[in-house]
Amino acid sequence: MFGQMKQQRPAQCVSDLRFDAWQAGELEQAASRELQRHVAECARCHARESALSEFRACFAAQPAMPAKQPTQLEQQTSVPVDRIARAERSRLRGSRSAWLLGASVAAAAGVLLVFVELPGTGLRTEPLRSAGSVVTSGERAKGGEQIGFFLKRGQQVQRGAREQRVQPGDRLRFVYSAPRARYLAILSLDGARRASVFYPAGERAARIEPGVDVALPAAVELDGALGEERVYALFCDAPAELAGLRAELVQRGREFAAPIGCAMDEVVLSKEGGAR
Amino acid sequence: MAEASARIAEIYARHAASVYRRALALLGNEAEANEVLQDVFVSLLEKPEQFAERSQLSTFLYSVTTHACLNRLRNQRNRARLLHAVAPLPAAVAPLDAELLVRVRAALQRLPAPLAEVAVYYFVDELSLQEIAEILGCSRKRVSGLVDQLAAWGREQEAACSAK
Repeated sequence: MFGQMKQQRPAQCVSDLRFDAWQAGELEQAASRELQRHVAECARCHARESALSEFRACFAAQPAMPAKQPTQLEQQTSVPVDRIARAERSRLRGSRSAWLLGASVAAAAGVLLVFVELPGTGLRTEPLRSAGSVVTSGERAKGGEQIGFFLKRGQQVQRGAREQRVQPGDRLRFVYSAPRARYLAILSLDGARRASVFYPAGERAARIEPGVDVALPAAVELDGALGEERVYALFCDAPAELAGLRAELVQRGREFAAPIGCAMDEVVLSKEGGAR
Repeated sequence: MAEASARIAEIYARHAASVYRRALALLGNEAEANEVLQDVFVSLLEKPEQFAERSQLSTFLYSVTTHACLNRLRNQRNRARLLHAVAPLPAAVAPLDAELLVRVRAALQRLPAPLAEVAVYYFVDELSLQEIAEILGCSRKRVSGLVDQLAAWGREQEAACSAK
């Protein structure tokens, strides 16, 4: 062992460490562009990036990891953490012991750990495996802000397309790419011209750090209303008020445009009935 | 504390999947990999100063995860179970095939600590000498020397086996 072993990875190909650093937003812009250029041209690296992407998607879609006894961590964290951790443990009673760490770090990040009805919509937020990052290998707008999503149907997880057919009960987990820190809001407009705020849960757009396909902490479960739904992601220089954005969306409908100081990305969901 | 927790939450969001993936590759066991994942982040919660000044968290977490896995491999209670884990892993987890990984785990358990760490980075992660040097905080030349030592150790082991 090791006497005759050789590395299989060609020297010019991207290592997993490099992929991990890229996904975490640790690479300089020039290095990131170089990596993406290489991946686009190299079948081996393209396949590796896709495999890592699939793994991250599955990881993110799994329940939080089982944790050890919570005592010490609970003591170190705040009351809401303890409350949320208990709620999570209660939800998971009968499986394995406590799922604390996912709960504590998620709580520290302001992640909701119980289903919450989104006001004025038939949608719910749902916790997935904390705020795990996901890399997509789909097409990206070069150098710009962009959202994508992963779609979970039953136990299957797949990468969502820019125009995606979905079904009631499907769960969507959004990811974003941004070359610099911005404030992000994700809203939707359904066929009946009802607007919803998918992200964040507060009153204003939430600050996001630069990164490539970073998963947002909560997932959205689609309700039973069928038809087309447009999802708008606004990447803004300031923490825009969500109520104002929502009102603007209702008023302008599909003519909705990015406010000054914001860049916008959009995906279209076609919700159809189907066997569940 | 709240600031540190928020920072760790951010790190978890960006890095948990890769910590888990590498632990699963090295240990071949989902439960053990989950334990390592948790240990790594609990350790960060307990000692946030570990990562305070690091700009490249990926390299730091590669190091922490590797140490956690090697400790488990060397733990007498875990050894037999982990060294015989042959369940095939998804290709994304480990480019090496399951049988080769079993042999690597057995070798890692016998190797001196510095060489075991280099063996993980060089043969399991397939990192470049420069990348390993960045993780270990030493020169590329030093890493090259360690890889040579590793190969020599391997040849000695093979010769010893052939002689039996």
